[in-house]
Parts: sequence; C-alpha cells; structure tokens
Amino acid sequence: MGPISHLLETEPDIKYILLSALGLLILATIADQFSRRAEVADRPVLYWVTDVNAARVAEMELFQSWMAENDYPSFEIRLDSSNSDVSKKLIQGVSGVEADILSLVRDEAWLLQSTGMMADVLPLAEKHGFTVDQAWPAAAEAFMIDGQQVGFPRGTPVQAYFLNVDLLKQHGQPIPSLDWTLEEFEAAGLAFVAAANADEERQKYFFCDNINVLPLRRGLGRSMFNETMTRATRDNPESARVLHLVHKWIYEDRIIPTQADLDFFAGSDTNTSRIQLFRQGRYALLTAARYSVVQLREGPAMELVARPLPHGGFPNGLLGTGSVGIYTKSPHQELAAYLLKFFASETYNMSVVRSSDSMPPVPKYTQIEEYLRPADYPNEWGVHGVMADMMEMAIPVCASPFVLPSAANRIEAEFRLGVLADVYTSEEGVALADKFINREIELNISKNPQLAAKHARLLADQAEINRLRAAGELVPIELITNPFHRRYYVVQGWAKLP
Amino acid sequence: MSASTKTRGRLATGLLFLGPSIIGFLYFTIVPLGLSFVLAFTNWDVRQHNMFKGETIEFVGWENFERLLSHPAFWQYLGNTLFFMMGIPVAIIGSLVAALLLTRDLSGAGSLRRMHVIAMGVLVTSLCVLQLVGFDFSGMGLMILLLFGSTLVAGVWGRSTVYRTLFYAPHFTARFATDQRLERVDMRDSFVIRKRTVHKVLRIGVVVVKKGREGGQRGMVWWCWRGLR
Repeated sequence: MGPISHLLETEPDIKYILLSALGLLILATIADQFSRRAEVADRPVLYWVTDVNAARVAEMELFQSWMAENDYPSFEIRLDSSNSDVSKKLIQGVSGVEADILSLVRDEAWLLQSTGMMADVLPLAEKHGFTVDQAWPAAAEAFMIDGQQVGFPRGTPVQAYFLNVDLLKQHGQPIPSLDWTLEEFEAAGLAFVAAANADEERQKYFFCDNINVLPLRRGLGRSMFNETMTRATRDNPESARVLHLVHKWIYEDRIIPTQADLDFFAGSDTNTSRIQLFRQGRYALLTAARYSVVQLREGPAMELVARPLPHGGFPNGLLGTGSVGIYTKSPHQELAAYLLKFFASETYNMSVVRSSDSMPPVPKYTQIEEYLRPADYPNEWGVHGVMADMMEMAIPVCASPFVLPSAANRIEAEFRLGVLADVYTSEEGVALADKFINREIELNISKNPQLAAKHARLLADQAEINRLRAAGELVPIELITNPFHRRYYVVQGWAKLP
Repeated sequence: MSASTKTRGRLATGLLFLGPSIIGFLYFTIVPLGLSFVLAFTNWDVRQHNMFKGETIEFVGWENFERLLSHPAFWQYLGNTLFFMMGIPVAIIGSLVAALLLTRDLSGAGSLRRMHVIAMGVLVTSLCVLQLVGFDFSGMGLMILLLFGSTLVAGVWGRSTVYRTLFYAPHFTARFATDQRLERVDMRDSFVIRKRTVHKVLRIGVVVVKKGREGGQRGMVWWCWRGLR
C-alpha cells in the first residue's frame, strides 16, 4: 500500500486539498511557460544588474531611442536590481549564471575581474569606439585592470566640497580659495563654528559633514601602497599626522561632527540626511560629487560653489568610477557592447550634462557652455567648472593586485576608527593597518603561484626605484604602477617620461 | 491489513510530507555547514578556485585558524559576540519565567508563603546592604534589582494577580491614553467612550461578585487583553 493511497484512505478530505494544490501548480507552470515564450520570441533579452531608479529607466528609454535612430540591432535590456549586491554578483558569476551586463561600483571591478568572470571587452571596444582614450585618463585605472578592459565608465564622480555660500556670508566668513592648505582649512573651520554657534547653548553648526583621509594623506605625499603596490606604506609620520588631525578636528576643534552629533541631528548618516542637514545650514561644507546636485536641485535654489579638499602640499582629488562590464559567459556579448558604446556617445554624455547625474564619462563634454553654466541653474555656476578642473588632478583609489581593495579598505577602516575611538594612537593605527594589509598580501601570494611570480617581478622593480631615488636619479614612469605615485613623481619632477 | 503494514504506511506518509523540508534543510543548511567546516582547513579562495580559474584546492591544516587567533582584536570580537548572544538565553528563560508567573501561583500557602516573602525580603535587603557597603552597583542597576525584587515580593504576597496586572498594565495605560486623546479630539465621542469604560469596569465588578476573586482576575485580564474596546 503506497503512502498516497494510505493517506487518501485515512484522511479522505485532504485529497481535495492536495489535488487542488497540484492543479494550481500545473496551471501556474503552464502560464509561466507561455508568458516566457511570448517574451523572448520577438528579440533577444539581456539582463543588466544595476540599481533601478527613475534616472536609470529614463536612461534605458534614451538608449532604446538611440539604438533605433542609429539602426542598430534590436534587443531588450531588463534591469535587475535584486542581484546588485556584490556578494550576489560574485557567487552568481562564479556559478555561471550571472546576468549579461554588470554595473561595477567602488572596488567591484577589481574583485570580479580577479575571479575571471568579467569579459575583456578590448576587442569590442576597438570595434565600437569605446576605448580607454575616450574616457578621463584618471578613470582608466578603474576599468583597465592587468591590461584587460573590463568595461567602460558610465559616470566619473570626483569628490569635492560643496559650499553653502549664503551661510558663510551670513556668518561673515570668506569663500576659501581653490588651493587651500590644511592650516587654512582648520582656521576657516574654527572661525565658522565660533561665529555660527555664538548664541547656541549646544553646538549645532559644523564646518563640514566629514573629511576623507585618503586625499589628505596623498596631499602629504603618501599613498596606501608603495610605487609598485607590493606593500602597504601607511606606517610613516605623514599618515599618522592625518589621523591625528582628523581626530583633533572632530573631538577637539569640533569643526566636524562626531557620530553622536550625527545621531542627535538625524538619527542616520545617509546621503539624503546629510544633504538635508546641509540645506538646513548645519554644515557650511558638504562632501559631495556632481551627482549631489540632483538632490540639491529639489527645493529652493542654493547658492553653491565647489572646492577641492585642502591639501598639505600636493593638491589632488579622489576619483570614483562607476563602470559597466560584460559577463564572460554571456551569450550576448556583441549586443551588450552597444550599451558601452552608448556610454561613450554624445547622446548619453549630453544627457548627463543636463541631468548632473554624474560627470560625463567623455571629457570633451565638460568644456561646453551647457555644462559649465546651465541656463536654468545659475546658482550652480560655481560648481560644474570646478568639478571639471578637479578631474585633471583626480586620482582613483589605489587597488593593489595583491590584496582585494575591500580587504585593504576594511583593515584601514578598522584601525582608522580605532584611532578616532582612542583605542590606538595615530602611530599605532597606521602601523597596525600596514601590518595586517601586508599579511593579507603575503597570504594571497602564498596561495597563488602566478601572483607570487608577479609580486617577485614588481619587487625587483621596487628595488630599482628605491635605488634610483637614493641616487637622486629620475625613475622611468613605466616602473611605477601606483596611480598616485605616477602622478606624484611627474609633478615632483622625479619621473623619466617616455 | 497488519499493524506493521499500517505503521509503515503512516511512516511513509509522514516522510512524504516532511520530505521537502528535510531535503531543503539538508541542501541549504547541513551541506553548506559541512562544506564550510571542510573549507576552513583548505586554501580555498573564490578568486582562484572557480569555474574560470580551475586551480586545485589544497589542505592547509590549522593555518586559517592560526591567522584568525593571532589577530589582535580577535578576543575582543569574540567577547562582543558573546555579549550580544547573552540576550538569547535571557530572552528564552525570561519568557519562560514570565509565562510561569502569569499562569501559576507560586506563592504556596501558609508557612511556605511566609518563607517566600522572607526570602525575597532578604534578597532585596542584601542588595541594599551591598550597595551601602560599597559594592560597585550603578544607580540604574540597583534600581532594576530593587524593582525586580519588589515585584517578586509583591507577587508572593498578592499571588499571580500582581504579575498579570503588571504584564497587561502597559497595554491598559496605552489604551487609556488613546481614549484620553480621543476625548480631546472629539468631544462628541467622549461620552460614549466614558460610558463604555465605566460599563466594562462595572462588568468586572459584577464578575468578581458572582465568581469570586479568581473569576474577577480572569475577567480583568480578558478585558485588558481586549484593550477595553
């Protein structure tokens, strides 16, 4: 006697429930299959893992009209926001079931490329004209990895401060210069918080919302890694000084809010709440990129100007790049390349110029009047030109091939926050960060013979660089792989250019 | 049909229903757990050991654990994790204790009841003495202990009515506050609300008269549960 017949004998009512459930499942399966056939019958469907919002939907509509205008092959792109978490991208990618197209934000390009799941689109780029020379030179670091082109940027935000001009004027404070030092930043901050909080029982107003240590460290001539990115190099007085200064500005000078202040203000530290607080006049300066303009345009117009971060001798800007790449197992790589071609097109770049959603990925579109002085937003004329100029001194985040950026950043953040929380001194913080990042590098090398061979080769280059520097000779630029050092050596006149 | 055949049939039926759950549990919980345990002793790295790279995975013994244990903050992280996990047994035991207090009279009778009162009194007094002689309790800690001890003493004296009242008091007061707000918002409804509230209190009184104290308790709890609607 089988279990089903036994069940039906002992529990006669349940058979109707089971049969109904089975019938519903069969009907749903048939309906699902028919709907899929209808969807894929007319043209190919490609999936793009990205964030989905109104701007992205509008971007897709623009893409489709651009494809039709140019008589390119017809296909559909469907946006998938439910799998945009990096761990999902990674797991689905190495399992062979990733979407055709992937947005690569922050340091995802290095991680995903290291697994082999990202296609080298260089041949397609040459065919369709979205090669590296089309984009900002500094942005190339984010999508040219180990000689492979893993995508093309769809936005190249550079980090700056937006200044609330009216608030500064209200408290009798001048607009800082475009080339301001750490000392000028501190003096301006102290003067502002003293003037703004003069009548307050509890401090309500701060000079800026935050400050990024990376450009500060670069401003003092130091980087996360050495010239060949074979070792971490934070353990030096300049890097320790940066942490000490940030600690001082937050907890002693009170020109930057503490976490407790932020909680008191808004209960959260999201981008939206920071912008709202900036609007309310809680901060005179907002850490921002050009895309912040989109949110700032909502509501009454604010008189804005942009300024680079202060520096300790070497002006620089931090570049972030959002790229779009193609999955190596996608059967539609040729079609997916049209999306990357679109990002290099005039149609797309002009739409970014108008929307201010980011910096246009192609530099020439930042030199036109429509970009520099948008007719509808005269209050922003002090922003866009400065941002374009900053692209010339922008440097992307250094990503060593020997340690995952996410791992290096996690370790760095751990000890940086430890210093801010008084768990470590500044000197201990930078030394420990170096120690653990170098240990991570050694671990990765020990597990990967190819990486070990590359590391050994670059260590030899590093020894040569050190020898040349000690002898006071120029260093051939091709020996240097760290984007910061490449630029720093050129500016200092230490590099031998080809 | 023999008894053993019937038993086997019932077992098969049970397994048929449980099968999907068991398979899901094995596939999504037990297998990944086992694999994680195995991988902890290897040099597995998703960047190298995947369908695109194809490097071989090697056994590395305790190396991963040595690296973990040598991290300067490892013991702090472990301590933090255990600290946060402390809430789990407290929540389980606390829920059990709350359930017992709400469902049973633990005070006993006669001399046993007096002994309980004395024991709780000694506990609370001891805590006060410890504080007075300099034991490092914070003011808040002492207040919580006193509240806890006083509740237990009151519970032993007043039996489970005290616990039930305390348990439902927040709901009762919240409802009362809502009623007050409603009264402010709409004077027309206030008469109805007041009339309804008085009516329900009177109903509890009637139940107490008719069914004694236990009946009154049950009635009060029920009305509180209903939120004096």
